[in-house]
Amino acid sequence: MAHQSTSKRALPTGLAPEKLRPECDPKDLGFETTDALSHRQTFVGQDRAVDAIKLSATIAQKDFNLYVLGTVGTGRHTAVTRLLSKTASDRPTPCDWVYVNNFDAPHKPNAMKLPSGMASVLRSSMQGLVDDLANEIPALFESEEYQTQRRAIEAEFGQKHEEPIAAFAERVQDENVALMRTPMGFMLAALVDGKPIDPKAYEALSPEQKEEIDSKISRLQEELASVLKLGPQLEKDHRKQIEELHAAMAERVVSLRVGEVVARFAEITDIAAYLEEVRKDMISNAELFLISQMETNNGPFPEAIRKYHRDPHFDRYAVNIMVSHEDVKEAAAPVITEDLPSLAHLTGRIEHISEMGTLATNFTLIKPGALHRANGGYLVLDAHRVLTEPFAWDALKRCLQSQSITITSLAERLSLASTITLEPDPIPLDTRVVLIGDRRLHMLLTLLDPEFGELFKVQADFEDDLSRSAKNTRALAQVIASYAAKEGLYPLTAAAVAGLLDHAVRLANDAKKYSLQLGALTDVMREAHHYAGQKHRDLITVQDIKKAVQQADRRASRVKDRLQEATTRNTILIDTAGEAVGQLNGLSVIGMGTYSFGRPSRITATVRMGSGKLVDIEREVELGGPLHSKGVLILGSYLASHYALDVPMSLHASLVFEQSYGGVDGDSASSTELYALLSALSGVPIRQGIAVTGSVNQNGEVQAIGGVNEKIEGFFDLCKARRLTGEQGVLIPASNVDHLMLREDVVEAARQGKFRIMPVKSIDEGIEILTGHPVGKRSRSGTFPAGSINALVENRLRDFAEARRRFGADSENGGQKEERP
Amino acid sequence: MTAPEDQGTGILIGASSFVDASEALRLIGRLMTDLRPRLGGILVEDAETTAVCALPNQRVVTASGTLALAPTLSQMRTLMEADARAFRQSLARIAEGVGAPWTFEREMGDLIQQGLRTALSWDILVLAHRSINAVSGKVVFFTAPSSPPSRSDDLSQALAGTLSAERMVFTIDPSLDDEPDRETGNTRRFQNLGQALKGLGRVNAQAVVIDLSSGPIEHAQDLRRLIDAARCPVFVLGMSGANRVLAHSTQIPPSPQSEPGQQ
Repeated sequence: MAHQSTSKRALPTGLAPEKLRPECDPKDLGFETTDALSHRQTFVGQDRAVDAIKLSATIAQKDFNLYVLGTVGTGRHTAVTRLLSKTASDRPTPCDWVYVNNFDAPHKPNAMKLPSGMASVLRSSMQGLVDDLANEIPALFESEEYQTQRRAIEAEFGQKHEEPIAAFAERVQDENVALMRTPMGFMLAALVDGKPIDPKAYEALSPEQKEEIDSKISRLQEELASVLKLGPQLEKDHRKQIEELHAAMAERVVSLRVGEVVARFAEITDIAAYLEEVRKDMISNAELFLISQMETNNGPFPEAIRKYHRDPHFDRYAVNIMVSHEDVKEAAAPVITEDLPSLAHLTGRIEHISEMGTLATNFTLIKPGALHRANGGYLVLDAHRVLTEPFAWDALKRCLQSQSITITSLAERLSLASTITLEPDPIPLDTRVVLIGDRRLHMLLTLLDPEFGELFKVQADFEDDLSRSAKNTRALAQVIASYAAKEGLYPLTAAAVAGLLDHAVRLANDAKKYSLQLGALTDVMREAHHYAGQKHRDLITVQDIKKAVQQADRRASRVKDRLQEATTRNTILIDTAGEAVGQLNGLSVIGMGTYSFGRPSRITATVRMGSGKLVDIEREVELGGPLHSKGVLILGSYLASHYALDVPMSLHASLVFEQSYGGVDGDSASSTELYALLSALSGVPIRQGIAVTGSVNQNGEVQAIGGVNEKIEGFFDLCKARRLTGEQGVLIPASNVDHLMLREDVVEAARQGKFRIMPVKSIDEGIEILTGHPVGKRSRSGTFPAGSINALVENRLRDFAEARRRFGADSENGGQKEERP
Repeated sequence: MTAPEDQGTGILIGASSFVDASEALRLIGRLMTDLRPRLGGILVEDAETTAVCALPNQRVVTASGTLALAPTLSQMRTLMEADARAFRQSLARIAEGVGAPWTFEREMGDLIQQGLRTALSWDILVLAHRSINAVSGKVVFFTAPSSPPSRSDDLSQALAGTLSAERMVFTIDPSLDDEPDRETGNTRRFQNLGQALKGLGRVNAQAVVIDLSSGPIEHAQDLRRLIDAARCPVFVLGMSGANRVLAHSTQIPPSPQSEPGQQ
């Protein structure tokens, strides 16, 4: 509970307003509006990363793939795209790739490399070839020449077949035997009186007659069997002759048309070899063109213009284009970004169609992936997305290691596929892969995946901030101007640019740096452009920038406002005036995504005699993280090493963040907790109008912390809501002064002397400000000046030690107490 | 069996087994759209054939040239039942495919006799014969030198066109000199039927067309010899001449040796 003190030292003045918010002066920028600035094509402050990207983009050796790491919004994607595009424009357009049928093994389609732009030419040539032959071959087989030759063959074989049968029939007749037909086949029977003999008549014959008949019939049966057996061989010979006739007929027209296609691609030996296979296949499968013709007659279009190549049975002559560069206007290597890097999207897939209740496929159903499209160029992927897609990362590594693209399906990898599939020729891979991800992911990959380091030898580490020099200020101004022009935003005034640069400083949390989170800056620009438009202005002013920043803050600050409301209504107990022993205001930062704000918390300390235990209540209930625990242990060591070194530490103390029910981590409140302990030990109250932040080391030095701006503003907002007294402020580590970029209202309050920011370097310095009491320095005799904070603390600890000693002695003596002097 | 009362050409298919009938049915099936005929089928079980099966050690030579034991009487009956079923179903399928009426009957006796008798009220009788030659053959039209253009002529041309087959004309001209076979293009001239049948035996024919009303078939035995020589379905028109052929068949058939040109 706070109580009034009588005499104490006055609060120091605190930092000068200029140090609280070192703003950018528009006059130093050297322009009126961004229209006057030239646009910057290079990148600001990312030399290290840019050089890495350029190395990876240009080095010829494989495995120098690139991982781009950095915070979101620092321009990684823009830099990668722009740099790769520039390098790609200096490289030749890569070759086209197609899959064509392997006539000997259709399940192993052949990959064919073609000069750039030739794939579609080959495809349309093959389509034209099929259409031409589909018209010409049927006409050929309807020609009189073919019909005549066919009839001659038919007649020849017909006669060859009929001749022996006719001769047999005549012999049978001559031997007075009948040739009869039954459902099962032919039967022979001797004739008697012109009629076949019946069993009765047969039985009536003499044995010699029977023998003669039987022998004759048996002989003739054998002869008939021999004659009929000739049939299949004759049919086979007939078929062969017809096939040879077809081949000879087809060969003339097929060779002529294929020759025309060969001439078109005379210099490409692969195509010539393929077309020779096509020629042979077309000759031996000429009936395909006849089947197609027969199916034509019901179509709506005249035969002459029907696209026969679309019939499925001509798929065997199709050209499946995997990569084609026919649309490329200027020679350049491809730069491909794949937003959904699944296994199929990366390496391609083989589709299936349902046929007669089963799944079938052929080489025309092979579909390309991003690796195909990027072959000969660059492939940009999001690292997190690749790693979250099943088997995609593994497939990518396999392809990079083998320098070829092998298409496998997810079902195949999981051994779920039971249908026939293809084994296409792997296509050689010559691609530089660029992964864009965060630092943590890069670290995990480096630690846990040995192949990652082998394949991705280059890392481009994007800076998060940029030093605040005059040169960089101008450079950043140019970047802002370029962005405004590129996005069609209104030009910015110099003051607006200065305001935006101040915001960049704030985002960097460092007065000597600009944040390179260009995404956040451009968001502010676009919102400011909107506000300027609402006011019917064609220039973005500093008011628009400020409004954009404030409105963004307002949109995100609902939780902050509710917490402050709870504090001002004393639901959460925070004193901002008066004094109290063992109690003061600590400061923490609550982060909610990209928005963070400061929140004051009451920290209290209690002390009594004990066995040297320092209880961190947050840690006891597992609400304190390890860093917080470390800070508490450090301050405990400070106490133990600075006071009453000649007696055992007989303190039992406890520290707590009052009304804190969420987790606490970090050591930025360790100095605050130490001040609370010192106050509790010395019995000297602490000014409640001062909040404290800073970590402490074992030597009592106050160390820098993070989020100093948010913490100060969080306490300021509370004090302002209750009315600023002029006796309020924040104690910060001296090493955090360079990080200050406070809001203008805080700076104005400081200027008016209503609020102070006081840097300290040591605990002694801080306790003096907080209590208004001299802290005291240890003299050569080893004692602190009487009545100083340190003396009071030390005396208390000695008292605890003495009381403990006496308690121990009393216990040994059976409870007899010594009299105290 | 009389032809169903309806318009259209009446075609009766006579066969002694389904394997014989199937070739005729195949040809008729190709003509259905053009002719839109009324269809009939008659399966004639030949008693002589059944009796010959019962001869001791009798064997059958199958179409592929293998020898098998001849069927027993009961097996024969079973085979004929199955053939009748198959014949009937095929006939129905072909006829109903174009909405044509059809009938079917079974008889015992001689195919030629029964066929001619039954076909008196039909326009065309097709005497069926199984196909032995896998190569498609010609359409052979038998005619006399002075015969005017007739339905049989038209039918032979229609058959040749539908089957994309060559059409041959066998003309029997007794006025020819002794040269047995004079060939002019697709026409062959013979002095008599015996020579013509000898020539026919060496031609790969898939159908033969003949008109009874204009000769040269005089009796059933000629028809029988024609079928044996053709070894393919024989389309018989001119039923007005059927009675003459049947009448001759009641007489003792002349000896084949009496035919000039035959052995």
